[in-house]
Amino acid sequence: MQAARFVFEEIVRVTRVSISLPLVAALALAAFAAAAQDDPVERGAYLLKAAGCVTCHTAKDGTPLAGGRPFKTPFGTFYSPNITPDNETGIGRWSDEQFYRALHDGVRPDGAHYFPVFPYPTYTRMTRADAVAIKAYLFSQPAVRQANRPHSLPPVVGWREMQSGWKFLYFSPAEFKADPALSAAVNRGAYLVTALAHCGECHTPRNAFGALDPTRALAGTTDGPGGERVPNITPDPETGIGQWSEGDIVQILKTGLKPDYDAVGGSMGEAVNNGLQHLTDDDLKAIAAYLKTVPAVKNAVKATPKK
Amino acid sequence: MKISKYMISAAVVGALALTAAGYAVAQQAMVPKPVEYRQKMMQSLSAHLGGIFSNLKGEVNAKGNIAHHVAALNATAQSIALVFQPGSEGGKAKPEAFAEKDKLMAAAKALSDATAKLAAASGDQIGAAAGEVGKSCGGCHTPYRAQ
Repeated sequence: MQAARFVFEEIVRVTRVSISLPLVAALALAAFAAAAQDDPVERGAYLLKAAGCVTCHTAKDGTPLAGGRPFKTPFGTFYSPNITPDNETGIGRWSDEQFYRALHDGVRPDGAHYFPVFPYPTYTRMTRADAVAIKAYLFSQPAVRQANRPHSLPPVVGWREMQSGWKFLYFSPAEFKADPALSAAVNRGAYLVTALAHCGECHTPRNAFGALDPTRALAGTTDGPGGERVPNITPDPETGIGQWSEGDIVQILKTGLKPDYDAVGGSMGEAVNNGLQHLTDDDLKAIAAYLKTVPAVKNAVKATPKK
Repeated sequence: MKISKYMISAAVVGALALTAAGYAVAQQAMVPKPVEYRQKMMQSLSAHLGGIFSNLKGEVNAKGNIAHHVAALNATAQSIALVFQPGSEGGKAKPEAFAEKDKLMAAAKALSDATAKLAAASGDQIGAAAGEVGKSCGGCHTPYRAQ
């Protein structure tokens, strides 16, 4: 703010004589906007919402970002860690590089591998600048002292060394690259969907080893997080959302309302509530535009009979 | 005509299939009244919220009804607490909805507050206020409705 004011005063001083007042005002506004965008904490706050960090890193009725939420999977129960800047129990001692390596390579500061319940295979596509901005925001938040709860995993699965084999088979670190053949909006949407918002982590079916199946990206699964049924969001007209307009997609992300005006709940309700509803209209439209371009996959995700 | 083993077994299989089908239909028809009542009230909320959005988006041409939808949505939302009384367990409502009554009621209050704000909104504010109502639905659906 102070820098922006200084720029404003400078502009006024230098241009007092030669340039009309409306132009000065316009320049000053631009300077303010640029200052807001360049503030990594502010940018990080927005990116954190796009990436939905709070949802997984907060226990039920717990302190935001202090971790402890359980994830029951076929491989055992994982607990999310504390990502507040507490020095002992959180990530307070992490460098920017260590934070980026966690997201980009799925590696802890001590060199051990993360389990892919942490969606690093998706976050690897995030740019370094965005990762560092998210860290800047996290470090602006209160440090919470809350020790991480150890995962409850059977032997072998619990051996982190085994994860190097999993990574060899299913993971290649790579930042998102824009496709110059596509519009800026579709590229932005692709970045949001495949890097930040990590839609595929729930909407893409997994193989027996828990790796996402790239040939059926976003095609939905009956075996989503916590056994939830996750719908097909490819543009297939019968089994996906091919009949939805881009406006319908924006509406569900912004208000949680499906095209039939039923409100989503479950994990998607959390995703909307904790993050997606706060995205700009331009970003939501970009997501909609990108979802319209992904390959349609025929996959009816049927309701499983209630017990 | 001689009755063969084949015919008997076919008849038995057919009878079993009919019984199973009848059972399935009976199961479907046996939604307890308090659950059905809740479902109808929820559909009513959805219908009126949809009525507002469909008109604002130009999907239907009945803008004169928007005021009615706003009023009906608000009236229904103000009366939503009573559809979660003991004895209405079941349907898509998770057991937690009844175990965490205070939280459920707080979420229901957020909905009725949002519809009250919508009822007080006018002109260009209606769309945004209706969006806030949509978000407040998630306050209950997210923790308490089975997927």
